[in-house]
Amino acid sequence: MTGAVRMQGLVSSRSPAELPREVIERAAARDPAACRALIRRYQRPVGRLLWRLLAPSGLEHLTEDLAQETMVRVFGALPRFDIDGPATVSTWILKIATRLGINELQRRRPKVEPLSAKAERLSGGPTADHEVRRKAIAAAINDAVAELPPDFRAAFLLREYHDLDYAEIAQVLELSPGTVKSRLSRARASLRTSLAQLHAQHQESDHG
Amino acid sequence: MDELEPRDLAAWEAPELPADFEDRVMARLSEEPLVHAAPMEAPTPASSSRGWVVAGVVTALAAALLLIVGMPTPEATTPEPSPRRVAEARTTTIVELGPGVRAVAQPGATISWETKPEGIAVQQVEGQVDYEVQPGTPMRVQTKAGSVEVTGTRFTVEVHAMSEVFSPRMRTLIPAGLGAAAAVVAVVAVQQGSVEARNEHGAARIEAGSHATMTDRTAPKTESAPAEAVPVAQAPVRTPKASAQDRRKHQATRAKIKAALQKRAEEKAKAALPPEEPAAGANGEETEDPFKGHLDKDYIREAVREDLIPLAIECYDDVLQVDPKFGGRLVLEFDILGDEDVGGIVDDVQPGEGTDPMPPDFVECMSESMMTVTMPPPEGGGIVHVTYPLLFEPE
Repeated sequence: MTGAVRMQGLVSSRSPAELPREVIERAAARDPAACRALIRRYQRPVGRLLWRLLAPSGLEHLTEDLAQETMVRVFGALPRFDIDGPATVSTWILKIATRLGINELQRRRPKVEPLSAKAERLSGGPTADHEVRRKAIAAAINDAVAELPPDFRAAFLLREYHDLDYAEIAQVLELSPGTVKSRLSRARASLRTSLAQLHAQHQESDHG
Repeated sequence: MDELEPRDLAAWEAPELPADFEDRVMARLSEEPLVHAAPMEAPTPASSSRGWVVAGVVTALAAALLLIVGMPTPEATTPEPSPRRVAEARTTTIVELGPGVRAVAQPGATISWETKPEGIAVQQVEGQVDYEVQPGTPMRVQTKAGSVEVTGTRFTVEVHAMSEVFSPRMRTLIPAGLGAAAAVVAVVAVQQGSVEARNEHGAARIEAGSHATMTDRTAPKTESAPAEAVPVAQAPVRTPKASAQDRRKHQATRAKIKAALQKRAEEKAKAALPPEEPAAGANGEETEDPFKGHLDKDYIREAVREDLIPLAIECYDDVLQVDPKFGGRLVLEFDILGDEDVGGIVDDVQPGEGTDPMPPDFVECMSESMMTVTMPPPEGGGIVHVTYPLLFEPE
C-alpha cells in the first residue's frame, strides 16, 4: 500500500509526478519558465512541511520566509544536484526545507506563552459539531507534535504527510533507518494516545 | 495497530502559501547571482533573510546625502563586488551585509546595499536600522540627512520624514525647533565606540551613550543620554512600527467598522421593543452594548495566536538584545472590533492588572504593533474586550 493511497489523497503532498529532467536542467540554468514550473510544483509540499514543523512551536509565521529560503537554496544548489543519483528532486527539496525548519526550531528564542486560564475568558458562538471535532483532532495532533523534538517531528511529518519511506527519511535526517523507525514508533505512540483519549471523549458525549 | 487514521491526520490542515509566493521567489532569484549559489550543506539561520522583500535596484535615491561608515585599517579585507540589493523589512530582520557588517532592520525600514572594492555601500531610505561593524571593515551608507564615519562600533540610524514622526521616543530625541523646514530627520545613536556625523551644514563627534540628530536643513547636533537612562532607552527597540500609510489605513478601517456596528445597533434598536428599565449597571456610559461578545471564540484565539503573539515575540526579542535576562508577565487588555463586511482590528490596547514592571518602550512596542493588525472579517460582528496575560521568559 502506498502512502498516497493510505492518505486517501487528503493530505499527501507527494503524489504528483516529478518534473521532467529537461525542466530540472533548464531550471538549473535559471530559465525563468522552468524556475516557475519548479516553484509551482514543489511550493505546496514545502509550505505544508514547514508549517507543520513550525506551527506546533508557535512559529507558523515563519513558514513563508523559510519556504522562500528553501527555494532560493534549491536554485543555488540545483546545478550540483545529481539528477541520476539516489535522491529524487522532491526528496532533496524536502531535505533542504526540513533542515531549515529544524535549524529554526533549534534556535534559542524567547518564550511568549499565553496564560491559558485567563486567556480563555473570551466569548464564543455556536459551531457545527463535526467542525468542533475536526478542530479538536487537529489541535490534538498539533499538541502531540509539539511535544516531539525537532528531528522526531520531522521524521513523523515526512512519513505521515509526505510519504517518504524509512530509507528516504534516514537520508533526509542523516540517521540510520533503524533510528528512524524507532523515532517514528515513539511519535506515533504519543499521537495514538492523544487521539484515543479524544475519540473516547467524543464517544462518551455521543452516548451521554 | 501502527498506522494512524488518515481521516484524523487530514484534520490537521496546513494553509497554502500566499498566491504571489512564486513571484516573490522569482524576485529573490533575480538578485541571487548564479555563481554565488548558497551551498546547501551549511544552512544558516533563516533570520538572515526573514521578512525581506528584495525588490530590485532602486535608483530614486539620487537626492540622498552621503553617510560613510567604517574606516579601513591595515587589517581590512577587500570584499568581493556584488550587485546592489534593495530590501524592505516587514519584520525585525538580521542581514549580513558583508564580512563583519551586520544590520538589524526594524519593520518599515528600507535599505539597499552593494559591495564595492572600497567597501560595503548602504543607502538607508527610512526606518530604524541597527548596525554592528567589526573594526577595520570599510563601509558606506547613504541617508537623506547626513553622514557618519565609524571605526568598528555598534550604532543605530533612524531615518524618518519629519511629517511622519509619531513615536514619543523620537519626539524626545528631536530638539525643539530643529529644522522646522526640514523634510527628513536622522537620529544616530551610538552604543559602542564612536562615530562622526556630518552633512553639508556641519559635523559632530558622537561617543558611546550619546546620539546626534540632523536633518537635511541642519547640522548634526549631539546630546548625551540622560545619566539615569535605562539601557532600553538607548536600545534598538523600535516604536514607530507602522508607517503613516499603515496608520491611515488602520484608522480608516476602524472608522468603517465602528460605523457598520453603529448602523446595525441602530437597526436593532428600532426593531426591538423599548426596555422597561435600563440595562444592568447602566449609568449612561455602561449600558449594554448589543454587539459585545458576538465574535467567535475561535476567531479571537486564532487572531491572538497568528497575529498578535508573533508581534509580541518581535518586541520581546528587541528587549532581550539589551537585557538578555528580562522577563515577566504582561496582561494585555484590548478590544477586538470586527465586522463581517469590513474586517477586524485591535483597539484600545492597555496593560492590565497583574502586569509586572515593564520598560515603557516594550509596552509601547506591543501596543503600537497590535494596533496595526488587520484581521480577516469575522462571521457576524461585534466588539469583544479581551484580557490576555502573556508570560515572557528568556531561555
